[in-house]
Order: sequence, then structure tokens, then C-alpha cells
Amino acid sequence: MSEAVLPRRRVHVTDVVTPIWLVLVVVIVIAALISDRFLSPGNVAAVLQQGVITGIVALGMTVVLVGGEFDLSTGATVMMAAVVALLLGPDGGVGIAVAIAVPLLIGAGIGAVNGLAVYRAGANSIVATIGMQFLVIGAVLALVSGQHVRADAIGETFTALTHARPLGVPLPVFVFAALVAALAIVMSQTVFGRHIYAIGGDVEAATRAGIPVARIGIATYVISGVLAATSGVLIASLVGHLDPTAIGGYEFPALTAVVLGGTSLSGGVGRPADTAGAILVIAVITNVMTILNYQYPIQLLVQGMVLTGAVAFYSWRRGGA
Amino acid sequence: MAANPLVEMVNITRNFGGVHALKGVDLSVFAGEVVALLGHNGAGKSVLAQILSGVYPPTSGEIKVDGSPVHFHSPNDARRHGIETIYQTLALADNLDAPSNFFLGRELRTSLGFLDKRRMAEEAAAALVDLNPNFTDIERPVRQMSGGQRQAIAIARAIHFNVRVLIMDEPTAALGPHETAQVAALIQRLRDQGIGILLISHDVRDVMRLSDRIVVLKNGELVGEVRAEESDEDEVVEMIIRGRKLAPADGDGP
Ligand SMILES: Nc1ncnc2c1ncn2[C@@H]1O[C@H](COP(=O)(O)OP(=O)(O)OP(=O)(O)O)[C@@H](O)[C@H]1O
Ligand SMILES: [Mg+2]
Repeated sequence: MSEAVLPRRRVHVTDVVTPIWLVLVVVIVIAALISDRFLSPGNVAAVLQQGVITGIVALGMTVVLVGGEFDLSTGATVMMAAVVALLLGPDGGVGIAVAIAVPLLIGAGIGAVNGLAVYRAGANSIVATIGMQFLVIGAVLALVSGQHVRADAIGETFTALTHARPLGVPLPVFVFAALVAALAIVMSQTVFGRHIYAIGGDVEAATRAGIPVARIGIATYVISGVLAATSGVLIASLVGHLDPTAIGGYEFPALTAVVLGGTSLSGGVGRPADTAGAILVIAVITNVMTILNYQYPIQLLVQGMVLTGAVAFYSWRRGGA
Repeated sequence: MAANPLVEMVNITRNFGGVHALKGVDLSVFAGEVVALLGHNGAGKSVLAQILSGVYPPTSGEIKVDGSPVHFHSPNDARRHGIETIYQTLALADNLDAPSNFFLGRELRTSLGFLDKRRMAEEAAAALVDLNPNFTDIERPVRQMSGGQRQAIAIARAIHFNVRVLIMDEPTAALGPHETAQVAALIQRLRDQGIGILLISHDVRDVMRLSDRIVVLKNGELVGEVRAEESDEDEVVEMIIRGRKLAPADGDGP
């Protein structure tokens, strides 16, 4: 029936190269000009490593935010997962599998409860997930009675998981890359991903199209919970011991990256790969500032400027489009 | 009376909190029949249409399809019975392109289970060009499209998937005279194919021309029902304004 074939749409360059990747190139060039240490293999690996923990959290928040909701409980989930992994004291064999699986399952559970609160009970997602954050932090601190979690029982195999450097690149970087690729496919090539965009774009339209909004929304929170827990397990393996009160606050740097990557705060727009690009931009900037010995307040200042600038830029671009 | 109606709504009520949007309405649509639903703003037309679309259930009353009672828990259930809807709000996801909206909720998949974007783009393009030959560049967010183009997407997807009963809630509200005429032609074509159409409109003249039967709602109640050929604009306008209550209709149906 299609004699009248429409001109197939050209694949625009802007479909593939989004602004954040151009920014990344610019930032890398500037960084290389500022410091000749920047491009040394060791430093590049450090830059990559630095972004990974926040990056994995940010990927999950991207998925939730494309659906039109926030997940601010992720920082607490990171902490929970790290503590639980260490408490399970993996010293090899099955112990390691358990120390990885249990925190991930709890992360999924936290996500499921968030999702039920938001998508079934209709709670505001900012409030609901901040509430969840307090709940999780409280539970974890009660669990360890505020004590430092010791590394004594932990075997070297567990810490070696993240200290391995195939091809000179830290293993967590590969984990991150694999997650970015997987989520990029899920979001852009599957019916599930398409429905997340529809829900974030217009819940009413999605409902009327027969999309099971609640089920899909809950799934986005489960993804976010599992990814945050993954970050926590990686921290546990990287550090091997920790002070529970000292980890936390991952949700806002992650949210910064999500927004910098172009994900709309009102839902329906955003891509995991662009969040990854934003993570790299932030890692490069932070790295250069560290090389230049900038103090923490200045680093915060710069990050704040980056975030505000990004929000302004994307708002302007959407308004103008 | 001829065969069973395609759909029949019996004594439908619907409350929203204290608001009685519908107070016991009967409505049926036969195959190959255009039923016009008229009434003032807030009369309950869209609520009645959305109950038939499966958007929400009636507070009380019964819906029958081909004579058997049905319960719609979601628009999917209604669509499974061949009841398709062009919503007054269009119900498009503004951030998605035309093919995505066209196939929303019934996406095509490749053999590996991924989105078959190419086939969806081709089928949607063919259907949209069929409706509006000037429809180009369909693969951009529908937010960027004109009111007419957006309406065309909503119409095209409603008639593409084995429709038996088509609910059109003000389908020409965003259209110019030319496109309105096209929709009128489309309504006649669909009726000739045996599709039952529930047409909600404010344009009495159009309604007189297009419909077989006219049903008037006022304040959630059925206040009049006439065959279009036995009535005229003045009588219908009178019913809408005065809310003349009609004696039980005799022999409604073709
Ligand atoms: N979801 C809802 N919640 C509460 N009240 C509603 C809801 N939907 C409709 N109503 C009320 O039901 C009544 C009927 O509304 P409806 O949308 O059916 O009117 P309508 O006849 O379609 O009017 P219009 O010509 O303006 O489209 C109105 O009083 C409206 O305020
Ligand atoms: Mg209406």
C-alpha cells in the first residue's frame, strides 16, 4: 500500500553526537593543554575510575527520571550495599557470590518499595525517596551501631575483584561500560524502554495506550536500586573497610551528571550514554582541579556552575526548539 | 429491530466524588451507524465516551459488546473488543515521534524481540500519508507538529487496528475546513465498511449531515434522541438548550 513513501528521515549528526560529547572533547583538550600529566596512562585510568561509582548510580537515576520521577534514595542504597557486603565478610568462594547478591537484592527491594509508593500509592517521588533515604540510613546505622565496619574477615579475592586491571584499565570501568551499553539498548531498542519514555512524556497518553504504567514505573525504581547497590558493592571491594557515616551523598553528584547529560527534570527525555558522557566531563574537570591543587570549596563552586549552566542551556534549547 | 447492537451501554452512572457526571444513561451503537452525541460543555459526553473506551469504569450500569456483558479494566480491554478512541485531548506523548505514538502500546517487534523501528516507521508513514498526503517528516517529536498533524496521528492509529467501534471525541476541533471535510469523508467511508461510530461534536450542522442518530445529553442525563433524517437543526439545537425530555424511544436502530 505504500506507493507514497515518505522521505526517510536522515539520521542527524545530533542524534549521535549530543552536546555533552562535544563538551567532553573540549574539556579533554583544555585539560591536556593545562597539564601534561593529564594524558598519562595512569591518570586516564584514575579519571575513568573516579567517575564509575557515581556513574553507575547516575545511570539508574537516569532511567527513573526519564519515567518522570526522582530517586533520591540512591545515596543511602550505596551505603547500605557497601556495609552489607562488608558485614557478610566475603573471604572467597560462595561467600563472595553471597556478598554481592544480598546487597543487590536488598537494593532491588528498596527500589520496589519506592516504586510502589510512587506509582501505586501516588506519593510525590522526591518526598517518598528522601523518606526512604532516612529509613535506609537509620537501619544501616542501627545495624552496625555506628561502628566502623572492619575489613578483617575479608579475603583478598573480594578486594581483588575491583583491583584487577585488564589492559591497564580498572575492572569497575568495564562494569560501568557494560552497564551503559546494556541500558542504552534497553532504553532505545526495547518496548519496555519505549514505554518508559511514554510514561515520562505523558502519563495520561501512556495509560490510554494501555501501557501498564505502574508495573513499568516500579521496574525503573528496581533498576535504580540494583544499580546503586552495585556501586556500594564496588566501594566495599575497592576500600575493603569503611566508616558508614562517611559514605553517602552520592545522589546529588549523580543527579548533577544526569542533568548535565541532558535528561529532562520533567521526564520523557534523556539517554544513559549521555549521562555517561556527563560523568566523564565531571571526572575530567575534577581531576584537573586536583592536579592543579584547587581546594575543595573551589571544586564545589565549579561543579555548581557546571550544573546551573547545564540546566540553563537545556532549558533554553528546549524552549527554542 | 435488526441485529444486536455492536455495543450497548445500559443505565450508566458515574460519580466523581460529589459530582454526578452521568445519571443513568443508555446508549447503543449498531454496525454501520453513526451516532452523534451532543450536549453543552460539561454535559458528560467525554465521560460517557471514556467509560466505553475503558479509561475508567462506570459507577454503576452495564456495558455489552455483541450482546454479552464486558468489564473494561483498561483501554486495552476495550481495544481488544475493537473499540478504538480518538480522545478529545488526543492522548499523544509529545516527546515521542509519530510512529512511536501511532504504535504506542502495541509496538512491532523484530524476531529478536527488539523494537522494529523501521517497519513501524513505514507502516505509520503509509497510514498517515493515506490520511494527509502532505504529512512529511514524521520522525520528530509530535510536540513540534501542527494541531492538524497531531490530530491526524490520533485518527490514523484509531482506525488502523481492526476497529469495530470508533469513538471520536471532537475529532475536528483542531482542523481547518479542508481537513474537516476529509474527516467527514473518512467517517462516511468507515460507516460503509460497517464500523459503528460514536461522534461527539459541537457542530450541529456537521452532525446533521454525518450522523444517522442523534443523542443529546444534558447535566449527565439523556434528554433527547432522534433520527437525523427525521429531524432538523432547529429541533436539535432546541434539545441541547432546553433539554427536552423524550418519551422512551420506539424502535431505535436501523
Ligand atoms: N476525572 C474527572 N474528575 C472529576 N470530575 C470530572 C472528571 N471528568 C469529568 N468530570 C466532570 O464531569 C462532568 C462532565 O464532563 P465531560 O468532560 O464529560 O463534559 P463534556 O460533555 O465532554 O464537555 P465538553 O463539551 O466541554 O467536552 C463535568 O462536570 C466535569 O467537571
Ligand atoms: Mg468533552
